[in-house]
Amino acid sequence: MTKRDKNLQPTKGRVLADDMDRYRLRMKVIREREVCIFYAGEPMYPLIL
Amino acid sequence: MLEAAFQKFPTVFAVMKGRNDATRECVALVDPCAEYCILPKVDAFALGYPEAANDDPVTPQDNTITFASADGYGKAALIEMAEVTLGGMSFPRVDFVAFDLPQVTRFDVVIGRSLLKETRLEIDYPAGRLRIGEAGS
Repeated sequence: MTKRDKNLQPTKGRVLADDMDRYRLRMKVIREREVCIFYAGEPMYPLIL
Repeated sequence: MLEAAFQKFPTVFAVMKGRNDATRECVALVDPCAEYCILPKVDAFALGYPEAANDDPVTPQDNTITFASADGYGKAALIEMAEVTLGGMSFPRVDFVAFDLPQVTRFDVVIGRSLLKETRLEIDYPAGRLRIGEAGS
């Protein structure tokens, strides 16, 4: 991460990989020691919980 | 003290440091009703907990637990995360369950009671504000 807000929450960083699929994304960054998963993926349909 | 805004669900970035000193930082749902913190099995594996990847129903690991959820009973590995950081606060030795939440929920990680019991937690839904402080603060 290259920038954080006053609560140390990440706001900016170098993008290593992106993928909608959690497992494909993990495989792309498996060699990295420190990774921030910025988004956990958007659903394909409206989410109602 | 960490104070963050949220829209629908209270979330915070959690930095998980494993027993191999690697870290994974993820958006985490703050859920006081969850007994344990939860992270994906693939992340548990990357953080030095290979036992979390054991799906063998015949010879389960010693740390396999049975849990109850809305889907009924399930089994998962219980692991002790070396350290979890929320904002400027660090919490050593936090219990996590290695379990894959459905991707459609958009959450990989849940912060549950196994960590929240060490904090003072305020969730203001009308204002969309989340405050987390250490227990003594």
